Amino acid sequence: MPNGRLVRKDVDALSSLEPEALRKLRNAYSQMMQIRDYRGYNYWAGIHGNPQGYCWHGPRPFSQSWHPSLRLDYDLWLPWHRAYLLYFEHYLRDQQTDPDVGLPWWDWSSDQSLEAGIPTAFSAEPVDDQPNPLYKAHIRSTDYVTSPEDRDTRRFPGDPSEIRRFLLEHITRLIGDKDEELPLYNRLVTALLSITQFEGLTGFSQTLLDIHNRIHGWTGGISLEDGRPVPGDMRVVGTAAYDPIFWSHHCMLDRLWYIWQIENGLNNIPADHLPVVLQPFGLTVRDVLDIEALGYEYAVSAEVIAGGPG
Amino acid sequence: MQAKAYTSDPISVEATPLAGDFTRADIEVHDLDHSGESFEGRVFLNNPDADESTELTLDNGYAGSFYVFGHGGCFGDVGHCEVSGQRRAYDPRQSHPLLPQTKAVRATEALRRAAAKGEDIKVTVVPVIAPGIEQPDTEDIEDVLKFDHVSIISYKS
Repeated sequence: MPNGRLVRKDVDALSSLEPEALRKLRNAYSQMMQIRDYRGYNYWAGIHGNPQGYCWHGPRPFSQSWHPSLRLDYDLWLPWHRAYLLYFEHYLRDQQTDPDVGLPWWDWSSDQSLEAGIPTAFSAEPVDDQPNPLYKAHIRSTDYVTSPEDRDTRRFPGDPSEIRRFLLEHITRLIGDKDEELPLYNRLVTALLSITQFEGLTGFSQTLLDIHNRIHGWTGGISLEDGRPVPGDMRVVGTAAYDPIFWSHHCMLDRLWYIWQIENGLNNIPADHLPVVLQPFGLTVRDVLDIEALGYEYAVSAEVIAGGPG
Repeated sequence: MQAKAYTSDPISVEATPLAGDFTRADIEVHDLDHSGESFEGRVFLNNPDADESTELTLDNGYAGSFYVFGHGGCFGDVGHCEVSGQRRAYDPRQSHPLLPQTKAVRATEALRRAAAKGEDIKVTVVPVIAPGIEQPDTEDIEDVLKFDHVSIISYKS
């Protein structure tokens, strides 16, 4: 780990280049899923929607004690999820004897995802004759008030061409047919970087939020069971974080925000957002702007090529 | 059953900046409910008959879409999903997660085309929950699209 910082990697690269790291990640998830207290997977999944409901998705007012009558709209979904992933990842790493394996990101805009959809790391079942904890988690009937009987998370992803459709729609509205010959991922980054303002209905944050929403909807999907439509968990705010792919989806979004920050400024966020405390983590928005200060960075993969001269 | 679409009253082009020159125009949907199903809101201009099977082309008046990440209904105890309009002073807690949201669609080309015809513009929003999958015949599904008003914003750089 460079300077003690964790490197978050591309999950498809982990699958092909670092299968041992992926196995460690699966083990960590598996261990965390067995814990029933505040260190456990279901506790952390429950912070997002059901039952604790802390997640932010879009601007909302937030009364501040120093402005009792002033209601400002705060667009906190990116910093909130950055703090959420950070805490979750630390609890996940607690389950490792080797703490180097962090949350991998899922690039849903890659050629691979646009062809095959869900990465095999999350869709293979079983793996090495064992249940794959990245394929599904278990929601307990005690997890929230109206949770039905104990069940596994469910996922009914759509056709990958749908991802291409809505990403292209965003891209062409932002940059037209610029760089048409490049892979979709490159065009997506160019398009997002063309937005210089963080806030506003068509600013960077809300544009990325719309893409975030669509990937949630696509990944969860809907299936007909006994003639009744049943939504996949990623499609519903309340249960999305129980699906293990949630964390890697949000890693990708966090990474895109980081790439945008490098171009547009780490502090490019409304000044009145900075002192806001991101509940329940105890970090402020200012605290989470610099991922290096939080102890991680992003790479496709990282490996030692050869030893030094000694 | 399909969720009910919305079509606005006619918006006169002549009385608005759309009649002139603009470099960008957005359609905003204000105070949108996101308590139910997740859905895509497809926006069409001057195509009140658009539905989920309508092809997404400029010729069909397709202006763009937004996506609502829905809360999927109420999972808590009685009162869990009630959004109070009042907050007492000095209350440091987060506001209710179900406060309505506002979405914007960059619709420059579609609005330019519609305005160029010189006729009134009608905005239609078609909610699409899951293309090709029949939804149950319930009020929640029929009325999944709920919002306060639509506005069109034009910019000139």
